[in-house]
Amino acid sequence: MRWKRWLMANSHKDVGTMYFIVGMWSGLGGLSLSWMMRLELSRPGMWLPSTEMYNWIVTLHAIMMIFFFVMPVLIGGFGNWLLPLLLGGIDMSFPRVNALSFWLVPFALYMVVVSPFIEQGSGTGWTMYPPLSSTPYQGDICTDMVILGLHLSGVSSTAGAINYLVTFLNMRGKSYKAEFCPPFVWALAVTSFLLMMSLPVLAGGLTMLILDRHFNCTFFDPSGGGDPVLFQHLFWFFGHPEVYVLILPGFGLVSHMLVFYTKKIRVFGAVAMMYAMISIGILGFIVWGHHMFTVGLDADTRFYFTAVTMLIAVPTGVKVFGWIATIFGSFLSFEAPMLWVIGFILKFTVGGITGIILSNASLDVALHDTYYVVAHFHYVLSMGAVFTIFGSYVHYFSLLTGNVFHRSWARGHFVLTFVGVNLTFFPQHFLGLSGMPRRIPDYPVFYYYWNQWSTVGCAMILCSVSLFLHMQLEAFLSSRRPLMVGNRPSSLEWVVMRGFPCMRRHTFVECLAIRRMYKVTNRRKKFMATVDPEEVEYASGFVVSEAKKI
Amino acid sequence: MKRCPFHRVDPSPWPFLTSWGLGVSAISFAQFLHGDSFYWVVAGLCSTVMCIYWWFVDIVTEATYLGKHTIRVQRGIRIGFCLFLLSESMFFVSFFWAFFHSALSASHVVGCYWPPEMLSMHCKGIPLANTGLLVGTIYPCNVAQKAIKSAQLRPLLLWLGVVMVMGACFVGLQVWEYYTAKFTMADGIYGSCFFALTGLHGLHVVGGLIFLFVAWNRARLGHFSPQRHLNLTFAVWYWHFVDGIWIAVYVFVYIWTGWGWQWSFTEMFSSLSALHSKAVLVIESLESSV
Repeated sequence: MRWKRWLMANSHKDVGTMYFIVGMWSGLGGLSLSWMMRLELSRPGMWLPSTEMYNWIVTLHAIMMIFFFVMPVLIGGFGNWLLPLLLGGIDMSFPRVNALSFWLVPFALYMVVVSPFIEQGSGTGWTMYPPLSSTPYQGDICTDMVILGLHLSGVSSTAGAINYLVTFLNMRGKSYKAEFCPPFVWALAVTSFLLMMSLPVLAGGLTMLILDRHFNCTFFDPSGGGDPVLFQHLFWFFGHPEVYVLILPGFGLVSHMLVFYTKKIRVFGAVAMMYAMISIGILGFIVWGHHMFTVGLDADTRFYFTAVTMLIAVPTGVKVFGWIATIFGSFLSFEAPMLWVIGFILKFTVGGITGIILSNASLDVALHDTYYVVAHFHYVLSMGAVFTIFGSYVHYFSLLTGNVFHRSWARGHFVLTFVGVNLTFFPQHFLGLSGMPRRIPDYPVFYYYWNQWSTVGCAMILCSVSLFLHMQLEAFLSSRRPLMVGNRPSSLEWVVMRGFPCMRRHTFVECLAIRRMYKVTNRRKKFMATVDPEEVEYASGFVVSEAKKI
Repeated sequence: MKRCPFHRVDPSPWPFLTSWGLGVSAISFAQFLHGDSFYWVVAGLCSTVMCIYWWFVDIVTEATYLGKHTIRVQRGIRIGFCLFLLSESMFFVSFFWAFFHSALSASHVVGCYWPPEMLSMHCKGIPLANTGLLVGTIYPCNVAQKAIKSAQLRPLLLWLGVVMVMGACFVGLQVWEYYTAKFTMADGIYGSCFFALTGLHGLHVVGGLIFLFVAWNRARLGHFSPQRHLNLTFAVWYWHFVDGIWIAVYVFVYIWTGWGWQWSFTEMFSSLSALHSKAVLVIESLESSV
C-alpha cells in the first residue's frame, strides 16, 4: 500500500523528503508572519488590531523559522538524504528512531502554530525570558503550548542528533577514515554534537519554566530567592550553540557546491576547514554571555565573553578564505547554486563583520535590542543559512526528485531574492544605529524612511518566493531529467545518479568498500610533481613562463 | 546473502504511533495545567508506553530470534547509548546550574544564607542510608555481570534481584524523606532546587528499575548469552549513571549544603585568622617564658 511507505517509513530518503515538505511549509508560514510584521512596520502607527498580536507574530516567526524551517530542512532533509550517501552506508544507524524524530516535528509544529488561535497568543519572543513568560504576564495556555511544543521538538532533535553521530561513527567502512569524510559529514557531526549537548540544557530550563508557572517553584522569581538571569544563562547556553547548529550544515553544503562548480577535487584546505568547524563548535559553548551584556554581568565577565566571541572570527575566517581560495584559479560556471554560494560568502561576511562589532561589550551596550542586532542575525541566517538552503536545494534537486530546475528562472530567482533580502535588511543597520528598538510595533516618523525601503525589499522577497514555488511546479511539470552529472567531486552523493535515484528507497544495499583515499591524493601528488607550474596553460590562454618572457 | 553488516529494518508503525502518544500527552498536559482533567495525559502516556513496548518487542525479536544484531550493529547501539547518557547528564547539568546559581550567591530574600535558615536537609540519616544503598549496588551489579559472562543464570537472577530490591528501597526511603520533609517545592528557591534535583533523580531511578526489571525477565526467559546481553549491559550502565548522579546530588545538595553558612569561606577564613593570632600569642608567650 502506498501510505505505508510514508507512515511506516524506514528509508532515510523518505524521511528526508517528509522533513523537506514540513520544513518548506513552515518556512512559508514564517515568511507570511514576517510579511505581517513588515506591514505593521511599513508606516508609523498601528495596523494590527493589538500590540499583543505583534508580539506573538514575532515569537512565532522566530520559532517557526529556527525550529521548523532551518533545522528540519538543513539537518533533517539534507542530512537524512546525504549523510548515508556520503558515507556509503545503507541507511541511518537507527532508521526507526529517525522516523520518530521526524514524526515528532509535526506535533510540535501543531502545538506552536495553534497556540495563538486558542487565547491571546504567546508574546514572549523565542527567548521566553521570565518574568515576561511568567504567569502574571503570560498566564494563558498559549505559552504552555509553545513551551511543550519546544520540548517535543527538543526530544526529536536530540534523538536525531544521536542518530547522526552514531551513523557518522559507525556506518563508515573501515578504510574510510574520518579525516577523509566530506565537509557536509563533518558539519553534521559537529552540529549533532552541539545539539546533543545543548538541547538537554534548554529542556531543563523549559521544565523549570513550567515548574515556576504552574507548580509554585521560584527558580526565576526573585520573590522566592530565584533569579530571572538564571533562565538567560540556561537559555543562551543552549541558544548560542543553536545558532551554530543553524549555520554549520550550511557551511558543509557550501563547500560541496563550491567543489562541484569549481570542478576541483576537494575544497581548499579541507582538513583546516574541518578543524575550523570543530573549533567553532567548541567555542560555541563558551560564548553564551555575549547575548546578556546588558543584564548586569560584571566587567570582567563581559571582558571574557567579548574576547572569546571575537576569537570565533578566526575559524570563521579560515572557512571564508578557504572558500575564496577554492574559487581562485578555477573555471567557474555561473549556475544558480554557484550564484547562491557567492551571495552567501559575500553576505555572510557582512553579517560576520557586524557580529564582530556586536561582540564588543562596550558597543553592544548601545546596540543591544536595536534593529542593528536584527540586521546582524538576518544577514547570517536569512542570507547565510537560507541562501545555503536555496542553493543546495537547486543544486541537489536532481538528486532529490530526478528533475532539474529551469536554468534562467533559477538564476532570476537568485537575483530577485538577493536584491530583496539586501533591501530589507541593510537599512535596518541604519535604523539600529539611530536607535530603533526591536520587537516594538510602532515607531516615530523619524524612522519612516528606511522602514519604507525595508518593506519594499520584503515585498520583493515575497515575489521571489512565489517565483520559487512556480519554479518547482514548472520543474515537476516539464520533467527534465538530468542526463549526466557534469562533475564528479570526491564525495559520494552523485554515485546514485545512475538511473533514477529518487525512485529507489535505498541506494546502497551492500556496504561500499572504499579505497584508501590517500592513494588518490598520492597519485595526484605524483602527477603534480611532473607538471611544471610555469608551463600550465590556463583557460584564458595565460601561461606563466610566457608572461615572464614579456 | 547481502554482504553488509548493518541491519535494514522493516517498515514499522511504532515511530509514528509513539509520536502520536507523545503529542497527545504534551497537548493534554498543557490543558491539564489550565484545569482540564489529568485523564488525557494518562491516556497519552499509556499509549506511548504501549507503543514503545511493542517497538521493543520488535527489537528483541530481531536481535534474539532473527540474529540481526551483528557486531557492527551492536557497536552502533553501544555508541548510541553512551551518547544518550552524555545528553542525559547535560539535562542534570542544567538543574545543578540552577542549584549553584542560587547557592553560590544566595539572594537577600533567603537571607543571603544557603541553605535558607530552617530549611536544610540533614546529610546523615535517610540520605546517608540512600547513598549506602545506591553505592552498595555496584558490587551486586558486578557479580551479576560476571555471572552472565560465565553463563550462570541463577546467580545472575539473584544478584540482579538484589540490585532491584535495593533500588526499590531507595525509592521508598526517598518517598519517606519527601513525606517527612519540613518544606515543600513551593518554599522558595531552596525547596525548588532540592525537589527538582532529587525528584528528577528519583524518576531516573524508577526508569533504571524498569530497565533492570526488563533485563531480569529477559534473563529468566533465556534471551541472554555470555557473549550477547546488551540489554543487561545497558541496564547496568544506566544504573551506574543514576548512581553517579546521586553521588553528585549527595555531595553537593546534602553535604555541601549541610555544612551551612557557618562553614562558608568567609567564616573559614576568619576562623583561620583567629587561629593564627592565637598561635602568635602562644609563640610570644613561649618566647617570653624562655
